[in-house]
Amino acid sequence: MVMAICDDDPVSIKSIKEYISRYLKRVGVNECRILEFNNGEDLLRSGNEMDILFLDIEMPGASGIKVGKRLKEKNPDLIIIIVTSYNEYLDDAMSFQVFRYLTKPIDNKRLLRNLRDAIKAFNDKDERIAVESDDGMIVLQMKNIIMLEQQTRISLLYTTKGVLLSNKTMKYWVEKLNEGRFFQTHRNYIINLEYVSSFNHSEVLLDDGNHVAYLTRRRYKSFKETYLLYLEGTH
Amino acid sequence: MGAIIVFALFQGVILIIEGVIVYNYCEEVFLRRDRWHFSKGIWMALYTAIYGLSFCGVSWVNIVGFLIANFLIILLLYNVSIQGAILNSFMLTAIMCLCEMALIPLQSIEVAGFLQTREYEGITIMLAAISKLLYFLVVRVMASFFSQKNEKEIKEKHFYLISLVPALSIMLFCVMLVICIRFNISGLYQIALSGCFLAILVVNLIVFWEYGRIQKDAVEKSEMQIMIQKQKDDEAYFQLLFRQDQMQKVAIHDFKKHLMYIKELYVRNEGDEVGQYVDNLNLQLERSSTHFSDNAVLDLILNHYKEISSEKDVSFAADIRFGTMDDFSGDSITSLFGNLLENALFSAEKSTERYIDISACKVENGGAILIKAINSCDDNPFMNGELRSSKKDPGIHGYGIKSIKQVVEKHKGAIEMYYNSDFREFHTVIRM
Repeated sequence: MVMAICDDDPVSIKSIKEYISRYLKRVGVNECRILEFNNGEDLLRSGNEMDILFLDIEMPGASGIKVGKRLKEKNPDLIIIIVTSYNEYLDDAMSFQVFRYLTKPIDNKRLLRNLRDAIKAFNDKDERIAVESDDGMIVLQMKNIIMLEQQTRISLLYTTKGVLLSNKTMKYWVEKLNEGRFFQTHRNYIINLEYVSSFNHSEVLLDDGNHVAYLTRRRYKSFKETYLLYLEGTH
Repeated sequence: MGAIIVFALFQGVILIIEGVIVYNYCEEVFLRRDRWHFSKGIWMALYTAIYGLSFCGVSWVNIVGFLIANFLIILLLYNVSIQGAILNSFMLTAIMCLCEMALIPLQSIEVAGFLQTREYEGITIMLAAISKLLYFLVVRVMASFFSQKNEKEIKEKHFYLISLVPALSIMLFCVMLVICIRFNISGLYQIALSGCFLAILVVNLIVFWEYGRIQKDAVEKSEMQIMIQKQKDDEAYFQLLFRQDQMQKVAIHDFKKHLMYIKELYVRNEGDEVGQYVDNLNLQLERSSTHFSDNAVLDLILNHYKEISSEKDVSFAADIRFGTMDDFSGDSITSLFGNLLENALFSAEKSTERYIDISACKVENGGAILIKAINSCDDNPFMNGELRSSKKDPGIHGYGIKSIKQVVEKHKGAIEMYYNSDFREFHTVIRM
């Protein structure tokens, strides 16, 4: 995992870096690089791949908003936490998706709560699974699987790039697919919670209604709970 | 002699039951007049008169007596016009007669009551019990249609369920009656059965009486709670006005001081200093601006709770994304956020960590809104899966959450509340 801090105030960078380091040590995360930048131009020029970015938007030179937008275009999975001195409402000025906002002076505990959520969101995005299909072995990012439907002897994996066929059983997929992101709504359906558009007591619509999965009444309550917790963890 | 005593007792019991049925109907449908303190006297006088008339043994006299008595009771004791009193008393009398006559097919003997016989066997009592229970059920159904009172909506929900009690009792009576006649059950057994019939009839009346009383208590309790809530709201409003007034006075005082200092600098001919001073002031003003969202109502609420949190040394942060509240009315926003923050603050101020984080954003798929409220909370508020309140007044607690759930339901959303014991936080997650 790579984190970056971009702020024109060296004191700010130092304090954020210290809080992050202490937190990572406490939770036992050893493999994490923390990069530092004093302005937006250096950040854009660096070309480093990063996963989580603390970005000050009140910097001289390149506007923090433009920098954030460019970085998001290059890497849509980048998690950006905006750091600002102003209490003024900012979101309407943002032309990219911001994970969280932090106001200065930084509240250490609030920073760590948001960092905790950012790390969780990062871990969720990166998971992969190898799928054996008629076209051979394919490695998919779990976030690209919309849903799985079991038909008589085959499984249909609906992904963002098309449909894959697999001869694995439902039991296999239940074990393989991440419990936090996927949910078995019916004995023949497993869905990716990221793609839920709407639901009722008997079915779940996914991907803006392009896919439908059955939902049993018995699993409705559990599904609702799991789905809301998933949304909380990813937003 | 014995027969006359039995007749007298029987008539008395039947009249009391009829009186209770009519009273129940009137209480359900009409509003009382001011002269209610004379009511007991009027009821007793008129029904004693009917009782006396029943001894003459003439059916039409009984019918007319019943009609006039009920007309006078409705006119004198309830807020009803003469035409209304005539109509209702006619209806009550007509239904009474129809219920009596409805039992004729059961068997060929004459029924008790108006079309009376002096043979007060158990069968007669059973028939009377059936006809009075049927009368009671029909009058209750009528009352539920004609009732003008606001509690009607509350009562209707359970009314049809509770009406099963007299309906099934009537069925039971009819079956028992046929058995008595077919198998010629007589003597002590008949008397015992007829006693049971009367007892079940009385129990039916008691059940409905209690039901009405419980409903009334529930309505009164709701009204009282609304009144208490209104008083609390008024108090909070005036406290807010007072606080704002104080803040305004402080702002005016500070403003005067700034103006005096600027004047002093001007008098000393320090133009550059004036410029710099005014620039600094502007910067401070910008930094103290607290717009949390693009929704004016939500901003007011968040600012209000930010201020109170600050007074109580609770860290408050709000992250409301652009356009999330566009589809919500002012009162939905007030109910939702007002109650979420009220509960969050109540819990956070008693905790060690003391913070509240509230956020709202759009969900990518489906365009739903996600609202999260997280507050520090030292103790798990759930007990056996139920949320328990630590608020002092148990009569009022829980209405904030009910209000939140109502808004969520209105927008066809879903809500989840849970306690994270690792971080000692209470979470509310709403998707709408």
